[in-house]
This record gives sequence, C-alpha cells and structure tokens, in this order.
Amino acid sequence: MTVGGCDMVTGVGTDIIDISRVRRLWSDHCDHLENDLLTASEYKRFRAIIDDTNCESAEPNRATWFLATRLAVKEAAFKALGAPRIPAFNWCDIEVLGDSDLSIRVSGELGNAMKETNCPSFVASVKCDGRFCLAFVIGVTT
Amino acid sequence: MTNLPAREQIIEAIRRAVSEALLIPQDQVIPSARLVSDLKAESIDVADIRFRIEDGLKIRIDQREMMVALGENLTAEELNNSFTVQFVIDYVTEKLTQGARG
Repeated sequence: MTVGGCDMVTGVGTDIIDISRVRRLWSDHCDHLENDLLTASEYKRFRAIIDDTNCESAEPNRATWFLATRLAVKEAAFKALGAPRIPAFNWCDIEVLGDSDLSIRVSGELGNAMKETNCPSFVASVKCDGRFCLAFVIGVTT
Repeated sequence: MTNLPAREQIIEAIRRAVSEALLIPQDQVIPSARLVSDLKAESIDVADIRFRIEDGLKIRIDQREMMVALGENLTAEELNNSFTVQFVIDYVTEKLTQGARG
C-alpha cells in the first residue's frame, strides 16, 4: 500500500546491544554461533572478517561489531513485525545481508508472520560504537 | 538408551546456567522466577542460557521448538509470564527423558 507515492510503514523495531555482552557470548559460545545465531552465509562472512583481521579473540574489532550488528538487527526486525501474537522462531529465520547497506531476509514461521502483518520488507539502519550497537528497523509495504 | 541425569542434577545445571549467563546469584534463580520479567533476561541472554544448558547436559535445544512448548499464539505478556525457570526445568527434563528413551 502506498500513500502519496510513499511506502507504508507497518511496524517499527529497535534494539540496543551491549558490545561487551556480545563479546562474552562469543567468547563463551563460539561453537554455537554457526547455524544457531548466524546463518551459514552470515557465519562465512564473520569468519572471513576474523581471518582478515587475524583476530581469534573476542576483543573489540570488526568481527565483534559484525556479530553485534547481526544480533541487534535480527531482534529489531522481529519487533518491527509488530505481530500481536509471538511467532515461534529461530535466530536463523532472519538473515542480515550487506554491511553498510543492510537488507533483511526472513524465512520460516517469521516469513509467514510477515505475510499476516502485511509487511513484505524491512529497512534497517545500525550504528555501533565502542560500547553499544543500536539497530533501527522499519517494516514497509509498497 | 542413555542414562538420564537425576532431577536434582538437571535443576542444578539449569540454575547454574541462568546464574552464569545473567551474572546473578544462584539463590535468585528460583523456579517461579520469570526469565524476562523478573530476571531481566534479554534475547541474547536467553541464547546464552540455552547454550550453557546444551553444553552442561549434552542436549540440543531448538529455540523454535521451545517457544512452541511455551504455548502457541501467545502475546508478549503471556509468553513472558509462562517463560519461568520451572518451565525450563520441565522442558529440559522432558527432552532428556525423550533422549534417554530414544
């Protein structure tokens, strides 16, 4: 639905995530990231950043920000669905593509929820600094 | 068929997982505590708790499956009220029992 030539906003979601919390999660559960929090494609890019920066530890770096960005955007996208009933989902049902220009792909039960809430796509913006990563996502229909 | 941990071991493992993930004393992790509303767990914390339980009890917990067990078509408030430490204990015990049978 378009009003005055503009996309119609169907939902808004935000999330702020503490970078140190992400670092702790990574440090304690590196074996759980792939195919649980990150899709295979996201994990491949995450590993590539680690290899590029030659950093296996969870110190503040591009890899930590990459992980924080994915988690914050996934959470914000889930909120942006605006579903009145909470659909059961896995983190990998939401895939975050791109780096500076983010896009979001949704599958599984969340994909069905998107259809029900008339939310065919998302627009995302994210900002990370040394302490926090803030994601802002809106659901839009055209 | 594998050996099922004693109920006390399961409870202890879950209380430890919640305590370590949320950085709170274990005496706050009582069965009636709601993970989100009372213990202030964020979604990243819930993932952390799940991973600690998986590692501690050698099981696999699928988040979607666990959410379905909480109840389908719940509002956010209903879900938060149902998502207690006791629910996690019962859910994990059932998973382990199924695994021991299988």
